[in-house]
Amino acid sequence: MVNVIVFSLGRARMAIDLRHVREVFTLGPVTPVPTAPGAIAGVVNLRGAVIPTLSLRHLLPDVQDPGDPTEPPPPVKAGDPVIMVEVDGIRVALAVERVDEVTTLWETPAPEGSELYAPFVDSRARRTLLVDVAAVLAATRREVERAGAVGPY
Amino acid sequence: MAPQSGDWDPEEAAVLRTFFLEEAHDHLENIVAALMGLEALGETAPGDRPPPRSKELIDELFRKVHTLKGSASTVGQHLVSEAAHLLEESFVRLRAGQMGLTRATIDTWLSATDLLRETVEAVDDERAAAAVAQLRHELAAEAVDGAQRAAAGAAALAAQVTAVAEVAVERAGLPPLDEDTGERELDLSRAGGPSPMQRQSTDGNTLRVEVARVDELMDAASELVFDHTRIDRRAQEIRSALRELDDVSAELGAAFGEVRAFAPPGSEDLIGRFGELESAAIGAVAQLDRAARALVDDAEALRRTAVALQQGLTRVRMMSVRWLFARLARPLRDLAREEGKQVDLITMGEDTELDKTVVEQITDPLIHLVRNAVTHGVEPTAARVAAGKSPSGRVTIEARQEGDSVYLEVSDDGSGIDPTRLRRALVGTRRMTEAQAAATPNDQILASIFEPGVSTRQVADQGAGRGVGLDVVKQNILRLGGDIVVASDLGAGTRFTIRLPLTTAILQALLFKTGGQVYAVPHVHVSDTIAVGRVHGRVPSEIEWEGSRLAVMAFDALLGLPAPADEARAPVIVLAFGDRQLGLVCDKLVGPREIVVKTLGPLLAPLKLYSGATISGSGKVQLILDVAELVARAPSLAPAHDATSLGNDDPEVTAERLGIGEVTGEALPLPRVLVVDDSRTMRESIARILGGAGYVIETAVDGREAWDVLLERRFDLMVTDLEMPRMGGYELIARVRRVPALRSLPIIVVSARASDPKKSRALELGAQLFMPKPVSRGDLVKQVDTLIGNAASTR
Repeated sequence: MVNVIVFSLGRARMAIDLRHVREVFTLGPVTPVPTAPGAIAGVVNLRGAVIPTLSLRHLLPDVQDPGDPTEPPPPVKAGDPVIMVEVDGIRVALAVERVDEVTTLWETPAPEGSELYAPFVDSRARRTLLVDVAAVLAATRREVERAGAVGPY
Repeated sequence: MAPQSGDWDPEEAAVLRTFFLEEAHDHLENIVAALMGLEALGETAPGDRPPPRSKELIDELFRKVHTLKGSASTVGQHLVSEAAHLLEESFVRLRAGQMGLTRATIDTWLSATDLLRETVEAVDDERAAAAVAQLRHELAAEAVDGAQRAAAGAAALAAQVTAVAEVAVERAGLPPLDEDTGERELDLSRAGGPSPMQRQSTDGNTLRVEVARVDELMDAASELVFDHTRIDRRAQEIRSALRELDDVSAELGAAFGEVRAFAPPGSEDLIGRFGELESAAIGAVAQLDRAARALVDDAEALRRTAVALQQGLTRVRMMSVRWLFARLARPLRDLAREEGKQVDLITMGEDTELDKTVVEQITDPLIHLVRNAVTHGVEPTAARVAAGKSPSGRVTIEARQEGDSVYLEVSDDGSGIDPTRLRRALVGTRRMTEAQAAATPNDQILASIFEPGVSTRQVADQGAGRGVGLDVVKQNILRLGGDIVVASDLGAGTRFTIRLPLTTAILQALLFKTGGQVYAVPHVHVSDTIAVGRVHGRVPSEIEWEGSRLAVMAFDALLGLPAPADEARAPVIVLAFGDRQLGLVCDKLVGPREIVVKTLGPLLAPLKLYSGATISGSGKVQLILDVAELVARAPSLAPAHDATSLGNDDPEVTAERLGIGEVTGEALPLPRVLVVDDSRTMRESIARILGGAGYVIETAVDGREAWDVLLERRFDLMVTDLEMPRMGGYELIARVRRVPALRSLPIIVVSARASDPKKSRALELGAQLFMPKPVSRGDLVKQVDTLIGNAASTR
């Protein structure tokens, strides 16, 4: 049983453990960070602090609509809702499409899922994918390290 | 006080542990200081009359170790308590005069203290506590009587405490000891322990605050400044709308007058109502205008408060260098012992303050310099005596503040650096030819010790190589925005002078635009701003600048962005980092700014290209570039066609270079414009308009400041307001025109009230052009282009 914030990503119903959530806000202007991996949409100013913004669409391509696979995910932009999470002192804003509700989820025995998320159900038995925020951050961190070591130049 | 850890709930225990760690570090440092103080008093044999000051120091040792013991047991850290107790016990024999004070015992106690520190950091372990019991048992057996036995006991104690500490360390899951340095890498921030700053003095009326909290306040304070900018902009918008409204109501009034003249009889009531409405509108406009002015004043008050808050918080981040100096004593002493030399450390200016971040980052370079001074500077005792010097050498560290800089000087009275040997080494490593080395003055030869690889082992063996790792020291200092120079007198000693910025929280930066984004580079690394012509849309890979060749790199290409297609001339920022230079091509120069530096956070830290970020007046994040990383990515210059150089003279390479040489003539300095206005909004908006048009902008808040700047630096044009505090526009123009060198400087006056007498007076005094506020972007750029073009063609 886990208390979560539920959001939409494409047609998928996703969730993040409330313990990691610091706040939800609307993005201001996003400054791109050239040479950073694609998952880093940029950095934003949140009350004077510089917060990296991740594109969850980019990080979780497999949970999206099976539409046109060549279509790149829409860019993260000012006005998008973001969920700011904090894990081990690292604060990042996760750009999502829509923030839906706060609810409680139960684990399902279903074997599907990935390193980055696992399937859960809510009280109305709706399938909801719980994002493993720590794993997402670790994966992003690895990508950033790779980019920092080589870079496209 | 509750003696058991079980009495605390987990949260309380965590808080207490933090407090305890802070306190324990204070005690440990005091113990080390007292031990080193004892050592300085000289050796004694058992039963000797103790030196006069020793009682005080021994009492201090007792107090500290005893307090540590008590605190440890209070928070349930019994392992630490036991270890402290063992140390205390061994001090008892010293106090009782049962043992002499030898260097060996001090050594043992110092390392025992180190081990105690490790135990402190690896707290809470029951199995380790059992090991302590064992330790006490063995120590009791060991410590029979007599000085020799006591010394051996202390050594055993050390070994046992090591065992205990290692068990504790293992249990606590800490990283193992570094085999080379004997140090343990501990991430104290993650362990919830204190940062070095937090374990400064415990005396006095002080408050310990986590650095992160201060940083949060800094963020909030800088956000207030941005709030001001936004409010100010809104107020200006309101005022300009009001001016329009004023004009409209005046026109309405005039039109109404005409209507009245032709009004048919019987419409008096209607006309009367119109008149009332007209005066009501005028009254409302005036009232709104007053409110808008008051709003501007309030915003300015807000800005001042915010700036004061920012400055206050910057002060909070400062710490005295006393702690830094204290950290140097130990490595110096250990190394001197190892080398069998006598070296005294003398510190001066301990109360000088530096930003905490700077202190943290300068500690290792400084330790390196001190170690170098002991190893390579101070001679062995015999050599010193033979040279007629005092047997013990001196290493002096002095700190002092001058303006926005702090100077740290590390000097020794050793043998100095031999320029002859250094020359030989430079020739030997093929860095210079014999002739070049002979022709280079001593100070430049000396400066080469900061170059990577100069102090090879071979050179060091010749006694000239003071510079083992000095290139790294210099890199670290440059990264902080500082610099280091060396001076040396052969036979008399060497002095390293480090200049550091007072703070790294505020940075003087040059802002530029590429790919639609604004980036910042620290001004301290900017040598010049020039322009180069593009050939077939591309900039050359090298140009000639100030008589030498400069590698050029397009920033957009570095970032993987497309180059702007239509620009013929590209602005180039000449960056210098140490002895490396790079011309960085950007789309547009924005201008110099004072910026507040923010971290990009741990996630983006691996991107070495950025050293941080700042937030613009409109609240947008702008990235700060790491100049060290940029110059490291600079393309290497093609080998020069130069008979004296050691490079090859492949004809193809030469031809390529000559081809590039054709465009080198186009490296022109960008025109510089001085903007003088007491309104920040006006200054900023004019600076942005002209900066966007490719001019380099400096600003001044009034005539007085402008006058000072004009006498110091060259400008191609000045834009000034008329009414300003201290010195107004008329006086400034009159003064400028009296100076022959400035007589041809084009001047544009931008003024709110465009009355004819004012305009003609400004033009009479020598301004070229009068533009009423608000100025339009297109007009201003056109006029500035024309005036600068005219001035250039008549020169």
